[in-house]
Formats: sequence, C-alpha cells, structure tokens
Amino acid sequence: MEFMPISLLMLGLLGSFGHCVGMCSPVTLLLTRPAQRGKSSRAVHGWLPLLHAGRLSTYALLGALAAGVGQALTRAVPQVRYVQGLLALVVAGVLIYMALAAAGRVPPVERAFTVLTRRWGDAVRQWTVLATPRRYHAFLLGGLWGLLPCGLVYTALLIATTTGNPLSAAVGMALFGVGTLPAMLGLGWLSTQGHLPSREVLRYLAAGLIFLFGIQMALRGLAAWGWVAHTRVGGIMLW
Amino acid sequence: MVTKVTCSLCGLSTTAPLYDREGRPYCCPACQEVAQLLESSAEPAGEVRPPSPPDTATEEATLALGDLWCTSCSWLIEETLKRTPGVAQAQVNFVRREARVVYDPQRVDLNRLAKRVRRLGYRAWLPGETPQDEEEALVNRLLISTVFVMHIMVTSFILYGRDLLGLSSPDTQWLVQFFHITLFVAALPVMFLLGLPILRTGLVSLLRRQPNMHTLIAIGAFSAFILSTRNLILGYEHVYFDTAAMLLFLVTIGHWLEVRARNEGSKAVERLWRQVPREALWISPEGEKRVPVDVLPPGARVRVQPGEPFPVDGVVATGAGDVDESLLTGEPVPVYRQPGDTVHAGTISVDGTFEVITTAVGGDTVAGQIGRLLHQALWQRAPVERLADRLAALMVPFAVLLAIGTFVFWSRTAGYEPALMYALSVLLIACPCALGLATPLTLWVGLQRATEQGMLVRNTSVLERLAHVRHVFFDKTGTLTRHPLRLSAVHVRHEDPNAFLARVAAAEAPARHPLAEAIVAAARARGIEPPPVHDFEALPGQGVIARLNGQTLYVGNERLLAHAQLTLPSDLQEVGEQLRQAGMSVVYAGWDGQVQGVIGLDEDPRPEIQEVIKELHALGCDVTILTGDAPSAGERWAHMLNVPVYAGLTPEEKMHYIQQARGPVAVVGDGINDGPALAAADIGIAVGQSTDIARAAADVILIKDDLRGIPWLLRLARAAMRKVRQNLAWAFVYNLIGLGLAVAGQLQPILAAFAMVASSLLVTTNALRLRRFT
Repeated sequence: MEFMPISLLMLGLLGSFGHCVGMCSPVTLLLTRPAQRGKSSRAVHGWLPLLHAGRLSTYALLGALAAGVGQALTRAVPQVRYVQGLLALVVAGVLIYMALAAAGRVPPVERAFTVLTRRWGDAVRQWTVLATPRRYHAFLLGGLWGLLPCGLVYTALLIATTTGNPLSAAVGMALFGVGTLPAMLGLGWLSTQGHLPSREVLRYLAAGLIFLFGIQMALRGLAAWGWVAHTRVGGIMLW
Repeated sequence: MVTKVTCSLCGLSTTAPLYDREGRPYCCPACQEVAQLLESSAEPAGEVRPPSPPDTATEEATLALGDLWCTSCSWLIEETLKRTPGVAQAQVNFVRREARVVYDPQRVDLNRLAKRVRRLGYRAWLPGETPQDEEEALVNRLLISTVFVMHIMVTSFILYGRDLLGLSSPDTQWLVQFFHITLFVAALPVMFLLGLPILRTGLVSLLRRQPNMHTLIAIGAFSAFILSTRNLILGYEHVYFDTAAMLLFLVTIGHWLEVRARNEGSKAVERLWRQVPREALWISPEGEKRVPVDVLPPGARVRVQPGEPFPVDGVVATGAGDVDESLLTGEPVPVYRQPGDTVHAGTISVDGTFEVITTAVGGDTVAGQIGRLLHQALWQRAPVERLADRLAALMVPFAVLLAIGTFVFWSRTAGYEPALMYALSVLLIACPCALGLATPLTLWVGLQRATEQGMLVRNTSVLERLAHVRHVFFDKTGTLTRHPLRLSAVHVRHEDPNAFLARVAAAEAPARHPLAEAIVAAARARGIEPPPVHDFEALPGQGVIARLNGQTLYVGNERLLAHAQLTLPSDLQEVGEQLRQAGMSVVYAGWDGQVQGVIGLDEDPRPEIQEVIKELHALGCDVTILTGDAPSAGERWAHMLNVPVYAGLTPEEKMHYIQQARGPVAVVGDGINDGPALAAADIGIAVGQSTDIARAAADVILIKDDLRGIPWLLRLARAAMRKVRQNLAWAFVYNLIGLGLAVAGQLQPILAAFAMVASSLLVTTNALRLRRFT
C-alpha cells in the first residue's frame, strides 16, 4: 500500500475544494477571531499557520491512533483469513457508502455524529471567547478544529487504518491535511474562477476516489477468502 | 428524482437536508453547528460583553454539590456556571460543597444550572432536595471495587508465585493467558468506578494549568492500564493491571480518609444548626399555633416546654428553670434563668416552661451568627496553608521532571516497561498529598475544638497568630471583673440621694459602659425609673453628656469635669479620693457648672483571674493591665495580681502602649467599648457573651464568660502549630526517603501507593488527635 499517502493527498485536495471550502472557510473566520481581539501583535503573528499546524497534528494523531487500533485488531484475531476478509468487506461497504455520501446521494455520515458535533461546538464556543489569546491557543484551537466530525476526515482515517502501521498512517493523514491546505489558505476563490473544474465536479472526483478505495477493499476481502486472486503491481499489493 | 436542497452554509447540494429552528437547510450537523457558532459570536471583534445592569431583577440560590475531588473541580463548576447566560455571579465553596449563584430568573432557571453541573459529571441538588451523603457514595464505590481488587490481588499473587517459585513451564502458558484476561476483566470496572473521577479531576487541573497529584495519578494509572491492555492484545508477557487497579483503589481510600476527616471537622457547626428548631409555638392574640421561626415578628411570644430547645433568641417573660447552654458556651452545668434573663436559640430548657419575647430569629440569633462566622472562617486560608499550597505546587513539576529523568535513565538500562513502572513509583511517592491535606485539617480541627469550648475563632489564620503571642494585655474594665459592678457609695451635696441618682441614671441609661449599666441597675433596684433624656453624647474615656428638662447633665471622671469646666467642691473631692483609695471606681456627676455628687462603684474581681495570670506566665507570656481608671485603683490591681498596671489611660494611650509592645500581642477586652484597642492588637479577644457577636471587633470571642479560655486557647494554638510543623517535617522526610528508593528502582508502584496512603493516614490521624485536646 505504498501509494496510500499520495492517494490521501489527492483525497484532501479534491475533497477540500469540493466540501471544505464551503464549510471550513467560516470556521477559519471563527477561529481567527481571538487573534483579531488580541492586542499584542506577537500573539497574532503566525496565528493562521499555527492553527493549521494544530489541525494537521490532530489528523496525524488520529491517523496513528486509528492505525494502532487497526493493528491491535488484526493481531487480536490473527491468522483467521475469513475474519480478515470479513473486516475488509465491512470497510469496503462503509467506504462505498461514504463515496455516495460525498457525492450527495445519501445522507452524509456526519449525521451519525450529531451529539459529538454539538459537544465540539460547545468546546469551540468556550475557546473563541478567550480574553487574552496566546499563540499556543492557535495551535490548540487548530487541534480542536481537526476534531470536528467530518465525513471526509473519517473516510481518510478509514483508509489510513488499512495500512496497519501507525507511522505511515500518521504521515498519510498529515498529507491528507496538506492536501486540504490550498483550499483552506484562501485559494478557495480559484474554484469560482473557471480555471478549475466547478465544485460539484471536484466533489464527484473525490467521491470517485473514495469509491475506488472501496472497490479495492472489497477485492481484498474477496481475495482473503480466496474468491479472487491476489494482484500485485511491481511488488505493491493492490489486493 | 429526489429533490435537492442547497446547504445554507457550505453551498453544496444535498438530498437529505437538516433544518434549524429558522428553517434554514444544512447538509450536515457540522455545517449547522458552525453556522450556530458564527451566529453566537457575531459580536464585533474587540468588544467585551457589557456586564448586565445591576438593577435587573436577580435571584440568589444555593446548589448543593457532590463528587468534588479537589479545588480544581470547584473551579470548573464555577467557570461553567459563570459562562451560563443569565448568571451574574457564581461562587463555589469546596469545603461546604455548595455553589452560590446569582441569576436572572427570566433567562435561566435553577434546573438548567443544575443540569449543566451534572453534565460535567458532578452531582448537584436543588435547594430543598436532600443531597446524598458523599461519604456514603464513596464507600459504595470503594466496596464494589474492593471485590474486584481482591480478585486482582489473588490472581496476581498466583502469577507472582509462578515466577518466583520457578514453576513456569510452557504447559501452563495458556493458564497465564487466561489469568491475564481475568485481570483485565476485573480491572475494567475499577478503572470506571474509581478511575474516571480521578481522570476528570486530573484533566480539569491540567486545563486550569495547575496540574496536581490527581493529574499524575490519572496519567500513571491509565498509562499502566493501556500499556497492559496493549500487551494483552499483542500477547506479550507483562501486564500491570494489578498496579493500575491497586493504585486507584489506594488513592481513593486516601480521598475517603480526607472526606471523613472533613466531615468530622464540620460536625460542630452542624450540631449547632441541628439543635435550633425550625418551628416555634407562637402565642399570638388569635391563639397558639406552630409556625416556622422565619415568620415570627419581633416581640412574638413563644412557649418552650421542659426538654425543648429554644427556637429564638429572646427575653424570658414568664417561667423559670435551668437552661443547658453547653451548645454555645461549652459549659456543661445548666444555668438558672428567670424572667428578665436572656435566652438563646439552640440552648435547651432542662426543667422549666418558659414564655419568651422574641428578639432575634434565624441568622440573627447568636447561634446563627456563630454559624455564619464559622462559615466565613472556612473561606479564608491561613498563611501557613498557602505555604503548604505553594510547596505542593512546586513539588508537582519537580515530581514530573524527576519521573521523566527516572524513565529516561532506566529505559536505557532496563527497558521501557520497567522504566515506566519506576517512573510511576517516583510520581506516586513525590505526590505532596499529605502535605496539602495535613495543614488545613489541623487548623480546622483546632477551630472546631475551640468552638466546642465556647470560644469563637474568626478564622484559621488567627489560630496561627495566637501560637506566637508573647504578650497579653487586659483591658480592666469589665474583663478582669465579674459583671455587674456594685454601686456601694453615693455622696451628694444638697439633694436627696434618690433624686440625684434618678438624674444620674437618666443620663447613663443610653450608655453601654459597664459603669453606666451598674448605676442604672442600682437605680432600678431602688425603684427609680430613669426619665428619658435628649442630646445624649458619649465621650470615650471620659463619660456622658445628656439633657434633662433643659438642664445639661455631666456624668464621668475627672477628665470630663475638666472638659466641661465644672468646679469640684473640696469636700466632694475628698470623698472621691477616699473612695478611690478604697479601690472603687469613682463617677462624678454635675450640672449648673458644679459637681453635685460622687458615686463609688465596687468591682468584684473574677475568681479565676489569679489562675489565668499564673498560667499565662507559665506559657511565657508577659501580662499587662491597661485601664482608664484612676492610678490608685490600678495600684490595687497591681498589688493583688503582681503584674504591671498602667492606669488613667485614654483609648489613644492604650493603643500607644499596645503598639509599643514587642512581638505579637493579644488584647483582651469586652469587644464593644474597646474596639480600637482590640483592632490595634495582633489578636483581639472579646470576653463575655455578647448578643452582637458579629459586630464585635475581635478575632476571638469568648462566648463562655470565663477567662480561663485564654491560656487554653494559647495552648491549643501552639499545639496545632506544632502538629502542622510535625506533619510538614514528617511528609518531607518520608517523601525524601521514598523518593530515593523510587529513583533507584527499588520501590514497586503498589508499594509506593501503599506508602502514600500510610503517610496520609498518619498525618490525618495526627491532625484529628487535636480533637481530644483539653
């Protein structure tokens, strides 16, 4: 699965121009507000980069955690090919649903996290009223931002989990975050300029990418059961 | 074809929109939440929300709280309440487990406030609800956990034994796996029952940027648990479920000891309140009925049967009998009360049926005032407590650094997992919990012990200062003598003595000086009712001036005569001198530019005074008597008591003497007439039962009318401070030794936890021993 990090970067890039621009631009606005309130220029300086650094760190951390859980899970049910195959098929199903959700065809997965989202909102509400913002607050706020229940992030996490290696999953999730950066750092207007495909098209591209991942996982599950043959391309196992 | 709606925030189309209250569609909860956030923070940047105007109608209420672990918890609750819209003020008292909220009932109600507190994981009860006993809840958790912990220990001992006795063989390896799984299953509920409260406290403290021992324990226990779970899943050999569970168990036992100690400490206050009945039998014009004491108007007539406690403060109208006042004075012998005497709420009629005219109810009674003062005492922290807090705050980062150092060192020689265990031991043993617990507890117990003996100490820092007192001043008037003064001589020039006395008594009637009270009482005893006067004025250290029937009356000492420019006939001067030689207090009275008569008042010295001064000397305290009375009267005292006496002093001169004295000084006075002197001293002690306790300008109030309380209190304060020092020294040495062992990797985490609990137990026991101080 060596190409996984690159795929995640692509997912971030496509997905962010499709989805995040609309939603997370307001979040940027919201989270930079403490900086505007702060009097000292020292605190404000570097606020935005720190905010995104915090967000990316959360992604990386979540990636490592998810992969760790995945690893523990695969080791806990070792050597049972059928169980492994079943797990892969379950993941495939979820991924395909996520692809449909990303395309706007079914209710988004965020729906399942309404309570969590409300908690997140409460937490952010407490943090954005800081009287004297410090620079590390930007990092923490960014970290909190990364926790915002988001279908795209969860999709990326699910994909990262399949690597079974916390380190590469962390790198992959960080790359996913890097992929979202252009959209987040004010390049959102590009999507309205006509030089790029429209947002709806990008959205379908992201959905397609997730769909392909889903298919890959499904094939892997079937291969584990021996129903299809394992396929490799130059030493990299596709399924 | 499914209809598509566009999300009002992100602009993407969706087939399954969510709608908010205004009917705007969103594609997902996240978009909705963000939109709400944007709306709620729509205020322009840089503007601070103006405080709500003070004239809006607000209500005040007190919520009872539960499951608080440390002061960080009270901080969290306080902040949460303060941030609730509609709340103007919020204060949480950790010791009382109460939250006082001032809120706008239009915008928020108590139910919602309680719910917010509960959402943080604490318990909250509305006013009127009976809070669950915290100790009981804790014991329940502990008991359930005990079952699991015992299970864990038995299983663990089997596993230890297997290794130690060399019985391990591949054949039984599957059994080890099985035991590991049972350990996990048994440890899990312990982590939930005992671990979650500690974890919450630890995280909150971290959030507050004041990490404390709970933060460390939470980190230690949960890292041990997670590491073990990982090892269990991956099939590695070592698990530390026993460490994690035992750690939490022992720490919770320590916490339970603390809760118990605090409960013991606050019993005296509770006993006071519990004895004051909430209802009274009101004899109103419409007949007798039982009513809550709050609705009684001033002057209401209340009946009390034998064996019943008085529900109000008041004056006995009819009936007589013995009254048990031990609740207030600590004096076990009942006192005889008859019509005209004052009785207090909470004291018990032993054998009499009384009818009492109410003078004060509820918080205005002496019992209520004592309760309030004790309540206030809990809020204030003594300097030595703050010292302990500061030490504790320093110890935590030190412990963390040391633990990290231990981990780094041992991870290179012994591997990561043993290193983690050694670091955990270091964290545990370095925890300054005994330190933080012992000092306030000791002072607290001292305070309670004093209250039980009828001595009210305003706060714990007074106790600390009392221990250092090396010089005691007595303000003679009313403190060295037993009330009332006796009027023993009246000399007049022309008038009838009774008519003279009537005028003098009239002028003195509004005054609150003991001399004045004695004169008025003597006049009444002779059947003279003093007529009312106008333009009454009291001149401190001189006497009084008043107008009666257009005539200006002067009653006081020589200084007043000089002030009023009254001539003193030589015969009266001679009489006055004779009276003074006899040791009496002399009061002159004059009008029409001339002194008309002299009154001599005799004072009975308190029977215990010799003993008190002997004891104070034995305690290494200098004793000095300051008095405004004439030097000759002072000499008599100097002779009788063999202590220095400074007589003929004005209040200013008294203050001067007090401020001149070296070292911490205590001044004993009656608390009303010598307020400045008491305030000037390091410790002001007011003697004599005063109905106006809260107003007395004193740090210590002797409710029991007995001076022997003063040396007793000094001894108590010294004993308390000695215990504080003992405990601090003990904790320091103990922790240092433990720390050495832990850093060297010679102390198992479980043993470290045991050591910690043992230390706490020792220290609390030492503090509670003060309860038996006599």
